[in-house]
Amino acid sequence: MNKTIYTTAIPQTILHILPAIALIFAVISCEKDIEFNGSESSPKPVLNAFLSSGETVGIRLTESRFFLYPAVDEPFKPITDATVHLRNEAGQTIPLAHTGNGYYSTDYRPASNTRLNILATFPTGMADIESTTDIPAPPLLLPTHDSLSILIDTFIYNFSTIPAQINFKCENMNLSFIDPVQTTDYYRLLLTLRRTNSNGTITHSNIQFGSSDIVFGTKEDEILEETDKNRYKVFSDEIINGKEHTINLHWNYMTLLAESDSFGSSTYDLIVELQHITKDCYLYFKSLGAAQNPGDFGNLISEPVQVYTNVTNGIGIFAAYTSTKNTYRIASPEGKD
Amino acid sequence: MKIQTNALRLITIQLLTFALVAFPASIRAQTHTISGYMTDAETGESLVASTVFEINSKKGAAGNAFGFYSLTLPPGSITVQYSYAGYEAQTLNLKLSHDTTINIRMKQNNVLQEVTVTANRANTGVQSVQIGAVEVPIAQIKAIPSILGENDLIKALQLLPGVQSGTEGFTGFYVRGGGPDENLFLLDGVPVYNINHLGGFFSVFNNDAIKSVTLYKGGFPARFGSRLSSVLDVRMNDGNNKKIHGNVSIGLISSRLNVEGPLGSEKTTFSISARRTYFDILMKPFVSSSNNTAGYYFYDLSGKLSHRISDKDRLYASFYMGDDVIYASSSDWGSIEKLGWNWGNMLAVGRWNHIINNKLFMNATATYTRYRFDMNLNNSSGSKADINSMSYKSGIHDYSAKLDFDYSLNPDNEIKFGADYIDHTFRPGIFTSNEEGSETVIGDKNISASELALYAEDNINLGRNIKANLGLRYSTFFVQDKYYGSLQPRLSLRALLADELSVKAAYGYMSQYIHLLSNNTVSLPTDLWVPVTKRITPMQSHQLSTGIFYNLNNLVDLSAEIYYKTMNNLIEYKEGASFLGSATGWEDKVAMGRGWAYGIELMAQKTIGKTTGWIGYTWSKSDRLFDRRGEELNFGRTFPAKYDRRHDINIVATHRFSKKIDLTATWVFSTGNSGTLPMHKMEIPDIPGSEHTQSSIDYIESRNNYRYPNYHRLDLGANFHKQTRLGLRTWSISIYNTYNHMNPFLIYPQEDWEYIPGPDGSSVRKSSIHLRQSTLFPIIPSISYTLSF
Repeated sequence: MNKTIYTTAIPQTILHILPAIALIFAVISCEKDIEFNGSESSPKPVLNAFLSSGETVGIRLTESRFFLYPAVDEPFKPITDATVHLRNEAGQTIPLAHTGNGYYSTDYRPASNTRLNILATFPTGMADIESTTDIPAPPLLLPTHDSLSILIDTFIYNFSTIPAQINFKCENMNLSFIDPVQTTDYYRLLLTLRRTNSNGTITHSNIQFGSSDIVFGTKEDEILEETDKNRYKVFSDEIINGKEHTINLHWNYMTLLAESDSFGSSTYDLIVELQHITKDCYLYFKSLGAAQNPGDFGNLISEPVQVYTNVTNGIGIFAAYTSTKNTYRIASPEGKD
Repeated sequence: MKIQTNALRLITIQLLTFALVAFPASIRAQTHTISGYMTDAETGESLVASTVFEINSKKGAAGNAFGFYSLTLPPGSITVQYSYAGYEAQTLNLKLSHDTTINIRMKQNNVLQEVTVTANRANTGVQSVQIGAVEVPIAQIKAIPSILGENDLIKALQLLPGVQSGTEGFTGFYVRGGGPDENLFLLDGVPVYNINHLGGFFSVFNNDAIKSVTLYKGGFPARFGSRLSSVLDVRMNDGNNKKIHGNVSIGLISSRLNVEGPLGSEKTTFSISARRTYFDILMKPFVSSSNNTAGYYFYDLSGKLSHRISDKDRLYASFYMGDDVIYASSSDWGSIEKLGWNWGNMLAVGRWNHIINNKLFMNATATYTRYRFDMNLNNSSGSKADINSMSYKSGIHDYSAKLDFDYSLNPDNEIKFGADYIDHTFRPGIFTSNEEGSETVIGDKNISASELALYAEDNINLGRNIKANLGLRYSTFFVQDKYYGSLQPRLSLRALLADELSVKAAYGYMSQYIHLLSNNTVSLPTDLWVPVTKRITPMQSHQLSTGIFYNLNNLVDLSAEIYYKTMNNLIEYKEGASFLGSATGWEDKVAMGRGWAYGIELMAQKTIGKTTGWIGYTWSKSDRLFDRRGEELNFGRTFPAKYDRRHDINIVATHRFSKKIDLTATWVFSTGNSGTLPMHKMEIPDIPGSEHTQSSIDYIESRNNYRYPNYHRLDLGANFHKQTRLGLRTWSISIYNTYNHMNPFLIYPQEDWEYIPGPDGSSVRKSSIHLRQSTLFPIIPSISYTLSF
């Protein structure tokens, strides 16, 4: 008899039925609508902005709504009449102009290591909102030498609309980077497959990847990985501060060959993007990811998640990142045309 | 190993220092000692925490948990009074000229405990040093109406000030702002790790097998430790040594049997209790067919043997076993699938009581306790070679050895000291799959840990009216080459302002080395006990309390207590984390923080006369702060604890109309629990790499930010007794939540859709969001039958 011992997480599907005990009681219980015991919360201004080094600045302002507000199908109300200014460390004030539907922008392109403060005022009586972020320096992502080995499988369907499927698989991919000393740093890692079709059109698809690396904290959970719709991972340098570190990844990406396409006519590139993000950005992504993947039976078993905000008197996120990208050409898949 | 050797050396040095500090030298004039056992005259049961009191000198002593007492006095004429709650006091006049052994047999006032003496209760009365402790007579617990007629010790204790129940109907136990894993449940001195049956609807304690119950919420004596918030000391019946006695009870969902009596002679007694539910039998017609069967039941089996070897030596052996069982099987086309879940506790205790001399009593104990959860799933097609199976096992088991001594040094110093060693084995969850002859094992290895504690406490008379309990406890914990040690001072003071009025104050430092990985809403059988680690350090608490105690006309005990407690290294789930039985990587899923709780507890307890019961009121506040880097909860701001409630009122009243009828009413009121509601919805931006399609998300400003509606209910119960030729039969009828108040269990926003006619005649979908409340228990009547013989 073969005996294998693993130390990975227990497949939790086996245990998922256990909370059914709790759910039974909820199902058989008496239910009724009740009045909300409190006053209705007034709308708050919601600011969303991710700034990047060398890119123009754009933000969006909307109003939040009370959680019992019935029109959940309606888009959030854009704030179109706000006065928005950026201020940098040099004391320069940069106005942002409303470009429609709550979007505000300027041609100003912040450089790395710049601190920016944003202030928005509203004529409608809402309190002024304010936030600050730093534009991080680019991360030191090292080239992925010859460790990158991508397996390609093709499956011919011969259907008129979907002639074939292509699987790209990488079981062992190492990404190295150098973390700066003496600073606490935060990162976001993305893998993107860029496909250039024969007619020149380009599509980008984010790849979901897995890793048991220590920077990601909790041991890899295969079940959660399947249900997580985030094709990125964020991490801090808490354990690797000031060191060169190599993250080992694995991924499997499936795409379909378009009707008008053929094997060999498209080119594929893997883009590895390491973003150096602000702490606020890190906390926002972590909390947003947890809120969007509440786990077993929603919040009945786990505590509800508070999405992080760094906007004074308002909600939302005003954060920044700077990317370093490495691009690798993937051999063209071969198949029967 | 070297680390452990050095640590042991360090402990040895510290213990020697500890012993020198703990035992003050005392030179006194010549004294003599009266000692012996206090037992029930009818049953021979030892009386826990009885009182012996010399009237002229006003010196007294409390009996210990085994009924042994020792009182050292100067020689001469003395008048000694023996008393115990529910029994007639006995007074002896004698001339004390040498050490004397007097075994006292106390007579009950009557079998229904109509009359009790409260002022002299050894553990918790006006004259005792103890603060923050409550004794509840078992007869009172049995009279309290309950869900489906199933009297439950834990649910009765939830009606006491300072104890909160958490979720309605469950055996959640939150004492003075503490968490559910901060309570030490002792059954005959052995820790019980999971007190729940059926996910917490019922507790494992079978009232028929219980002799006494004492709950310590603060002012912990040094002999207790290893949990932050409370100690529940439950003692089992030894067994009647005069005649075979017992009772049978049949209820709607379970039946119970208890038999006790002498074995051959009065020297040896036994007591056996059993309980089993019959959900599975009642539900069988609905869930079973010729090919399928499924069911659930739980059972408890407990027993105790005691043997008196001599006047100086007694042996006890007791055990408890209880399991919850879920089973299911189905067969189809020759294939058979079987599912089995078992979870429960097993305890075994061997105990030797030895009177070394009139002043020194020894109790040596060896124990085994374990909680385990097993799940098995088998699929076979008939032949042995074609069996696929999966199993999951988790749990904890302890072997423990304990030595306790009671030493009556002189009339002013009663000393207790001892040592306790526990060998823990944590089984964090092993999943085994056997498929076509290939076995796969997934999970972490067992974790071993050792816990050692030494303690000493001295009950000191400081003058005529002031009494103190000074104690010191030193505990250590070894796990995975990591050593933790903790020196825990304890102090209780009592100033007697009059015979019936006293003020008390206490300070206690507690340390806890194990955590329960559990969500706070319901108790799941997969909840896991895990030890502290290098990263997760021991929980600690400091508690200060003070109170005033008054006995009104020997009828009613009145008390008012104030407490303030700080807790450090508490753990909570990180946001979004849940365990569901997997301990793998658990350290990454929890955050560490601190908390504090304070409150006022008022209580009036009457145990004399035809009307008995208590009124309790608690005002309390309990907050948490998790602000360590990377472990922030609630954005690093203070938030209310899960079961922080401002007001709790409990009224329990039993009135005995005649020997044939008694009625009990319980009314409970509390501020609603707090829950977390997202007050805003907000837009989320497009994020590269995210394939979430929703454009909005809930925004929660603060944890536990919404106060549920107030909770209240009235329970009524009536017992109808009649003496028959078979024995005393009792019909018990009870109504839970008599006025059918819909108390909230869960509140959540719910979105509904409907189609309404649009302006152009087509239908338009319209949504609405309501706040929805779930209620678990509407009005529930029940009936049960008991025959005592």
